[in-house]
Amino acid sequence: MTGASSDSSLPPKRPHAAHRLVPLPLASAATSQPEKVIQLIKAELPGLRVVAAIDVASGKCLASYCRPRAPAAEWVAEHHATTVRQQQLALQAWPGRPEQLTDMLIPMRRHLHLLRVARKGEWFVYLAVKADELSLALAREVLRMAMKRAGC
Amino acid sequence: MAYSNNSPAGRTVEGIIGDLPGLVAVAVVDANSGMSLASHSNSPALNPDTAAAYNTEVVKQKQKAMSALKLGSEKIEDILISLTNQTHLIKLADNGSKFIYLVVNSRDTNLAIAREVLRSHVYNLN
Repeated sequence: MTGASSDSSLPPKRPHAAHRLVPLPLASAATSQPEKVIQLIKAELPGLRVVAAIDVASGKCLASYCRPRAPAAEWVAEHHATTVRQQQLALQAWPGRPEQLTDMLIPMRRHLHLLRVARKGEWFVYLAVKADELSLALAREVLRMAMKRAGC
Repeated sequence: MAYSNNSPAGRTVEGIIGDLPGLVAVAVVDANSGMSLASHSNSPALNPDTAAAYNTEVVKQKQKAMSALKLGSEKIEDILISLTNQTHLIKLADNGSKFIYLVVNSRDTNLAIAREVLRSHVYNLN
């Protein structure tokens, strides 16, 4: 994984640059969890296309990894953050027993997109894999276990 | 009950209730306007028409994300949303003009079963 200090000396990377990990702006205990999750998922799923930890409120990537030629996570981070915010708003609007968003699975013909929200609901992980390389249940389990191991 | 079994949407709702009598709520929704064409709820706390309106935005956002990813050839099959105690499922019709929105209790209904029930009923909407 690339650190924040080593990246500052490099020219800005293009969105399609291969194998990049976007470092967190601050190296605090709170921000280390997203990077840890990305590392764990990357180790578990070497063939994944895109994985990113995204801040719900701002839609910014906290950490991300993209396979070569895969679309950059930053392009869709805001859309996915809006989806999560929309769902959280919907839950607040409903009376009765309080419910918290855990995950969203979006299976498509060729790709599987998964969103899993961290315990406090402040950020989430977006994972995209090819449907013929991994089943939906396995992708969900890998994501769940990685977040559990990272303590979020 | 807010459906007529004279319409495809009403018959779809009725069929899903028949397969999953313990469901929390179900609605057939016009994906463009977010309005329910037919709905039913077993919970006074959950109005499926309101929930459908919110979930229309979820579908639209996901479609925008797909456009951003240049996945124009791709098609969302369904969206599965897990909450603390409930599972919400959105199953889009083949032409994308309508979707079925289903809420079940996670303890009562397995995600795979709920998904399969929607898959078997969505063709009635076309």
